[in-house]
Amino acid sequence: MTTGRVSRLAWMLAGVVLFFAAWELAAVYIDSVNPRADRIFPHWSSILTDSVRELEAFVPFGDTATGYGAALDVLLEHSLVTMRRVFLGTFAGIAVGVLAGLAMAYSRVVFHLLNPILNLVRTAPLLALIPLFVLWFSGREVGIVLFVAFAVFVMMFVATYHAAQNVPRAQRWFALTMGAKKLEMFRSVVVPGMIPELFGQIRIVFALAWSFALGAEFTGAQKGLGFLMIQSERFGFLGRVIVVVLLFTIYAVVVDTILMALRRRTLRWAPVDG
Amino acid sequence: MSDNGDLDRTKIELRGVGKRFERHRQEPLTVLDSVDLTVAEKGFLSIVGPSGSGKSTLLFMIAGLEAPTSGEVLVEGQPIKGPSADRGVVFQEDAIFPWRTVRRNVEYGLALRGVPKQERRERVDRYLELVKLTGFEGLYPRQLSGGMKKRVAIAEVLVNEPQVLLLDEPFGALDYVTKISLQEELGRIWQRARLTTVMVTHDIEEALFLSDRVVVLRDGGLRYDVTVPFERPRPHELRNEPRFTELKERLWSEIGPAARSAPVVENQA
Amino acid sequence: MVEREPSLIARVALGALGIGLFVAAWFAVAASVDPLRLPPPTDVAEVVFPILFESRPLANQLGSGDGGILPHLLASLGRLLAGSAIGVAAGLAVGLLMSYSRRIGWLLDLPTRLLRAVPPLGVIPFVLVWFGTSSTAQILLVALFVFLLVVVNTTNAVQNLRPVYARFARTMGASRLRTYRDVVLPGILPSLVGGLRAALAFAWGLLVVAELVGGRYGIGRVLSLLVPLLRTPELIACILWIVVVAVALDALLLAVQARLLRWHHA
Repeated sequence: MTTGRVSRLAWMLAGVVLFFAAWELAAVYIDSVNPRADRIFPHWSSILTDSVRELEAFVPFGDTATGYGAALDVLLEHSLVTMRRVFLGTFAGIAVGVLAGLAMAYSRVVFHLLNPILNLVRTAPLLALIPLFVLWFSGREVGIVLFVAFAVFVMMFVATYHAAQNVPRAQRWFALTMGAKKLEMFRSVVVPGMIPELFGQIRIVFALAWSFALGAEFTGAQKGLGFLMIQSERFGFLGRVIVVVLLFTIYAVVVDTILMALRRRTLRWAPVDG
Repeated sequence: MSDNGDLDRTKIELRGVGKRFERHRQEPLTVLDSVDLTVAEKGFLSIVGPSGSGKSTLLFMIAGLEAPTSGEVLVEGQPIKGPSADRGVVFQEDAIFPWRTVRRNVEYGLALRGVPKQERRERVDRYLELVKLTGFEGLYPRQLSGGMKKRVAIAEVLVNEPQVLLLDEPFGALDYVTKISLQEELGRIWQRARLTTVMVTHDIEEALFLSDRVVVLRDGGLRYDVTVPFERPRPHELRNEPRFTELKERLWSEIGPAARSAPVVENQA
Repeated sequence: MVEREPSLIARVALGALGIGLFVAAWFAVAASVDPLRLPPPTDVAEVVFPILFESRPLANQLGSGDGGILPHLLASLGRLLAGSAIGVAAGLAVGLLMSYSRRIGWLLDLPTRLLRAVPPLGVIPFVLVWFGTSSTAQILLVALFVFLLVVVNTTNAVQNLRPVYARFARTMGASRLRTYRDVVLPGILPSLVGGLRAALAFAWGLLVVAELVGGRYGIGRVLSLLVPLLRTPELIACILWIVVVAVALDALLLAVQARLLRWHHA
């Protein structure tokens, strides 16, 4: 290890320490001026203890469990609900979006048929459609999953079309001059050639899928991590919000790490980064 | 050389071939204006010209990748209907597939035609040996140098045993040493394979070193046509002989002045 | 030959057919479900312009005026622009600082990564707890989101800039600071404006959700009033206007991009 790397590591560590210390200092200061400080700007020590335990408030009626065990049960239950929504919605959205994008890249007729609609939808803020899904499905499970799926679908539709277009013309033409028919060329050149870019898009889409699910859960769900967050916010318990946000962030990072590992395994031929 | 009899048969014929691009709010751009050209069977023809002269467009029309806006392209007297494995193309850019190993790249055309595995293997081995890539079968293109990638592309095309070989600035993106050695390699391979070849290049020396005949394309048409008399195999030293440099000067005088003040025309494709 | 592009007439006809099919499908679905859930397009068309200036259900709910959505839409747009301006200015400053000084870059590397790992919507409860339902909360939410994106975009863009330009400037005698102004800043502009288009598109939706969850005024608040009333035509009309603003904003940025970057390839 060179001194350069040591000092780099030291500076990076200092950054993290500074970040958490700044929060703690702010908490100490706000404590001294605001009587509700432990709620709206809690110390790290109380976030990791009291705030976690307080989530016992969400145990279902009739269940008398209390303490950390009950709180962890609550987190687990709501996590599973949210994950199911995220994964079901994302997988469905990716599948349909990739197929639609491929169809659009394959045929100029399909392209011109869908292009005007796609141009409108791609710039539309997808999150603004949440109220419509709430109204249609009255906050039922299927509505949340469908919203996530729809949002992911739109993003993957656009991304797949572009990834297919970005496969170099020389490679597509080369296949044709080797005797490949259009469909063979598409299957053997465009589909493998677009996968690296598609992988990058899938990472982005997965990261956003957590936000799409949160948005839907904020506005009409009776369960899920978004529901826990918005209920805690209503009563001004920021510590509980932070616990859930941290959990959320961990999930998103874990999924992203798995996707990266998957990419490394399946795309050994691709140049690093891309 | 022995069998010059073949050189009289016409393999490819261009009749009044033109190409115009419609442009937004501008006059259409005429890249090629009624070009007539015949290529003899088993001949090596080079098309040289300044950049933007439509050399590559002409080549892609012979390949069947682009359609002429007027006139027609005939191969063996038949109008062509699109790309075909009979006319192999080596592109300027890296066109070999980065997700396939060297072996899987070279066998691509054979796999398309359903050639059985055992035969594929033997033919691929033979052509890998021809381009001196034996031992590199398992590598991916990103692990190869620019010159090696070009060899893969050449093997990938030749393994199809096409009747026509089309080369689009094949060595344009390579460094000088690699370029010279690949030119000599291509000369050797071509002498063994002896197939009708059309090469597009901006490198006059490359054209002279490899071809039987060189034509100059400029201002939308063919402006100069010369037979290259040097016997094969052509040694490296040929490049410095007076008869070579004289011809090179002659060709330069046809192209150079036109290239000096030409503005950049943005790529249409 | 390889791919025949349909003629101009065929292209326009296909596009019109696509839109026609969409509208027809809408009619068909509307005819078979409860009209409260999905009214036919004609019902939406009826309210889409009037709703800008007057809406009885909204006037009743808000207890004032004609209840048109235009003031709400403009208020939200104002917050988006204010928040984005703050985010871009701060993000650019911090991003450039992080790439100018290696040490500051290392120091802020992990904290910015950490904040970026948080799903953007997860920040909504924070601003609501700290700043309530005020405009400040919404503006800060947008500012924070845009800030983080611009920081990452800036540091990446500086890193991806071909070093030959900066080296050339240095050989001409430019100081390091001068090089940043003359070479680095214009050099990263293309990717910066490109990133900003994506950031603004998402921030607009983020703002709408924030207003929907906890806002007293703004287009998101209008949506949250309409949903429980089952005013579907008005709701769809509002969403259409939100989309119109998004499209207009994107077109504007595209024009700015083209003007700023005449020298750059498309």
